[in-house]
Amino acid sequence: MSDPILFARAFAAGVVTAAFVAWLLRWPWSVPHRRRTSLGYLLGMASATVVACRLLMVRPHWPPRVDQDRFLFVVLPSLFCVELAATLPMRPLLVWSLRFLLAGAAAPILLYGSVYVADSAGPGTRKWMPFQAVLVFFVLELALFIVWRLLAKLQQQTQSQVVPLAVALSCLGAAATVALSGYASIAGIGIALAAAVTGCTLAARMPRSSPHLDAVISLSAVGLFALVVVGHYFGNLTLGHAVALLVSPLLGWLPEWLPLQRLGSMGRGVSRLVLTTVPIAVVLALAYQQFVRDSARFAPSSRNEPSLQDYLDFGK
Amino acid sequence: MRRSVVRFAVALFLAGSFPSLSRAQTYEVDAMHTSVHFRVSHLGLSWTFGRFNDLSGAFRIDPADAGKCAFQMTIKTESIDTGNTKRDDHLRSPDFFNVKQFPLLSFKSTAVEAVKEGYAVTGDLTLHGTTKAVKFVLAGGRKAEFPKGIRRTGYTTELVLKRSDFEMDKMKDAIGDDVHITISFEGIEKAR
Repeated sequence: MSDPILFARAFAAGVVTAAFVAWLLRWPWSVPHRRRTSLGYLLGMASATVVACRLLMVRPHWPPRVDQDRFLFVVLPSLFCVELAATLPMRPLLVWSLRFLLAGAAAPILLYGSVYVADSAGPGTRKWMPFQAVLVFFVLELALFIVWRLLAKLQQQTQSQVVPLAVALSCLGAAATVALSGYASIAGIGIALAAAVTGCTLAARMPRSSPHLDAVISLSAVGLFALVVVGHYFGNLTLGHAVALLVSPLLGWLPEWLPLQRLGSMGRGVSRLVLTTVPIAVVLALAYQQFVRDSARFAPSSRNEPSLQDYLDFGK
Repeated sequence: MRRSVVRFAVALFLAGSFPSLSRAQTYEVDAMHTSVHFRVSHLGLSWTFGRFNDLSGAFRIDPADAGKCAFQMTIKTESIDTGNTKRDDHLRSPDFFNVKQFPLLSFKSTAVEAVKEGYAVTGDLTLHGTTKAVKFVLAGGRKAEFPKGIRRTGYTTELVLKRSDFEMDKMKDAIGDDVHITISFEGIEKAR
């Protein structure tokens, strides 16, 4: 599972699949059409996720009982339905209302039946009282919705393919950090998501393509959110690292606010990627240091047990 | 007065006819003298040993009728301990035990038969949210009083489980599918 060549192969297969399906379904020999293009992106991302997950041996179970199953079988299909609905002629307010609903449902779906919300270890053992759960889920909904909205706005404003690439980078960083913090198999989903987003972004660079990458931004934002949420609540990803990873692609707004006009669109695109990379690199370095420290540490319950030397010195 | 005498006679008759009714003993598992150890292959090169530190349980022994014996044990999966912090965190994650989703590992017997070594126990093992029937032989059953007035008995068993049977199937190329488990427990007889 932790084979870098396998990771690279799965990532490449995902990128090629997403790019090919997205390119094919937007009907490249006819006039570009926004709805058809969005449908192509959605199907491209779905097929890329399936291909990369299969190569990485991510095998979800049905019925979905754990976080990864629920993400792949419930959250992602719901997102695809919302984004499919978004391709229909409807007011943006209605589209964003659907997205807000999905943002609210994502965390409860991921944490369903866990010790946080269910008495799975016996009566009265849930960690969150009902009002606490509502509060936590509301904060998580707001966090996802704000990140999602800001990324979509940045993409809309800049019409730049760098924005989804930056989120794909954050997904890869989140996958690696969560894996280092003790939940290794999530790396497969992170790589699959990053490949799907990268592939569709490449398809958008092909001639006569549409720059409307709303669906790609949606998948990357919800995917990144899911990675940090399961990493924090099911693994050992710290809250600080989770927040830093979630907001890292938002640093792409800085070149819009700072006086960087003379850099040109290319320069600002590169600076967006660099700015996103900085917090990811810091978080990864810290997670790696913690990984090395913990790997060399005895478990607390074993720490006070006598060493071999203690036995040899017995009675001296 | 006459009714009381009849009741006493009936009780005496029942006790004589069904001695097992009066001889079943209920025990509470003594966690201090109980251990649940496991070993699992790492890359086929070595064995990694571990244990669970937080468990509880109870059992009923009826020497006259094994069918009336019953065993149940509950283990907190969070208490897994292989002696290394990072490995324990990984084992607690959704890659393996998923302790935030499935905090308990439990066993409850459904049938017990007397065999030469002790008891052949069949029961439902719930691990990783999946319940499967397992069968093993409990050897032991000697009794002791320690300290004075505290009556104890104990059993030991060994079994091998396939973790993939319980949908705990990640990283099977590195970490073996077969988990060898040794359980040794003592129970303290409950006051009747």
